Amino acid sequence: MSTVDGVGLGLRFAFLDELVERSGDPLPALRWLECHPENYMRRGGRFPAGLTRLRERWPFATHGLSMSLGGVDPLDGEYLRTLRGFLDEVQSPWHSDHLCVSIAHGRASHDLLSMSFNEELVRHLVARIRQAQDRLSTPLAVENVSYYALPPDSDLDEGDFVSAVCAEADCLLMLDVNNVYVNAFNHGQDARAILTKMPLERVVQMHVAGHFYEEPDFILDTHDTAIVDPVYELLEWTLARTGRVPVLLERDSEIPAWDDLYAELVRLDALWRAAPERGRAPRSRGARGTGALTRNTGRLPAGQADDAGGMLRHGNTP
Amino acid sequence: MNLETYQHNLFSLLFGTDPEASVAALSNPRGRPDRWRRYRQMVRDRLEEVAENSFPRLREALGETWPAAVARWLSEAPPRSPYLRDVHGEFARWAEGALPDFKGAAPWSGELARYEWALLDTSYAAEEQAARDVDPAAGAFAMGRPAVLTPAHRLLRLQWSVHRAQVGYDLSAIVRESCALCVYRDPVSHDVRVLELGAFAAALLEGIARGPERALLEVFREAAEASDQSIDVELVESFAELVADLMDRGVWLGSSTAAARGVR
Repeated sequence: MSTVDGVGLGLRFAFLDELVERSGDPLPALRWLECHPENYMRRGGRFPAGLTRLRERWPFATHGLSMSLGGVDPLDGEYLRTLRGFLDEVQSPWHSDHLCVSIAHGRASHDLLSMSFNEELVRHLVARIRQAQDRLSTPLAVENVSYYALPPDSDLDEGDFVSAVCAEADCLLMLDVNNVYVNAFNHGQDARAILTKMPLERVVQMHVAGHFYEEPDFILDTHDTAIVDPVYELLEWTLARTGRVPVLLERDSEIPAWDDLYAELVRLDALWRAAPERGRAPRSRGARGTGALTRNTGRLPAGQADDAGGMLRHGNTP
Repeated sequence: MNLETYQHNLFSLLFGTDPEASVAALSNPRGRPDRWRRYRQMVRDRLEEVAENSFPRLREALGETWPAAVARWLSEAPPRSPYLRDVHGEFARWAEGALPDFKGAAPWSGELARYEWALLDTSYAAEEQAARDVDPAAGAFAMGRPAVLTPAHRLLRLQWSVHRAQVGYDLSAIVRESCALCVYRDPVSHDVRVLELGAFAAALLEGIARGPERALLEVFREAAEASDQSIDVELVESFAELVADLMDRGVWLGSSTAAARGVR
């Protein structure tokens, strides 16, 4: 198996069949894929069969949607057990999920809802990230989310908040550059100032995507348009500081023709190749001292993985 | 506002019937209240879209009352599962119970929801375990062993012919008519197909589904009795043809590796 590195694409049902058909094509700018485990767990039929075919060609990383790390309900044990089995099956080198609440008081929003940036939430998230990591055999990375309303009692800024969570949980960061751009735009902040406070040494993967201008001063993080130039520039700026971290294009709807989608991957690949080599593997409890995240298998040795905390994920409908 | 209170207010905003009270509770002096309203709209639009795309016949049948039905669903039985595709089943279970009493809904609306959910549920079903349960050396059917059916099938007993309603077609095709259906997934194309079952076939498949540890012979006899048929050469030949047909369709997988209950 080759390593998750370079530029990847978030797998969606809308183009899964086409990608299977193209899996014999060279496609040098597409080196890995990311899937939402929830879309394939406990499931048979067309899409899991397609996933199996694609795994013969590309390595996969996994990106969850439903762990609800910020939620007040207990973590879902059955979900985590099923997830662990799936991650082992696809041999994902890490698993990412969001710093958000999606399920609370027994109700599931199926959205990534933001929370107050404060010390209480940092402590809450750290405890739950460790719980989740302990139940998985795969290192966990957490993703910064976009937020549209400033929750009450926020007394940290976003960069300090994310940095505190990652440091105290000793976990990896799945840095969504587009989310930083969206938040900076919507809340009148400087995106680079936010990124400067992020723990860039912990970044294991980055996301980029397009978004929608609902109002002149309000962006929705819709993933339904092409990446805009300011996000490319922000990615280039970030890659210059992180080195060559795997970069993933997310496109959830209004999927363009394959040639147009691939053209975005080619542009991202050029940015990635222009970035400096990464000095060392990202820091985390799961990866400590191993350098294993960039090894050939992309997975931690079992003993070290068990020593790690645990984490996880997100999904689509057919 | 602590985490518990914040999340209570947030989810009341999303699913409650008095969103403005939640907006007031959540608003920060530095923020904009309309952004909280946008969260409610986003979540509800997404869930409504999931229901609309997955229940196109029901959407058509409910017509102008559809938005009110969805709003009532979200307030009475909001989604609970972490899997988005489970929203379909959650909606269908609510619809089957609530729609017969819903103003403007046809009496077959609940059955239509159940039927459309069966189409989806069948397309999702995982079948790996069943394949491991089949003894290839036992042949297509060993009467002393339990039969194994694919998990990618659903059996429905309906009082209305809701399966005759196609998307975009005249819903008057739905008439009061008892029927038994086998909804199954083609193992090669993964397409979902629907079979109308005769009385014996329905009783046989239901008997197998009800007691996966029972010998096929026991289920066969019970099905003959339930469908008021005597066990003769004609029935045995029909049974063999039925099994062959179901095997071609990937519904009937074979005989179980396990012995039937009470059989040594």
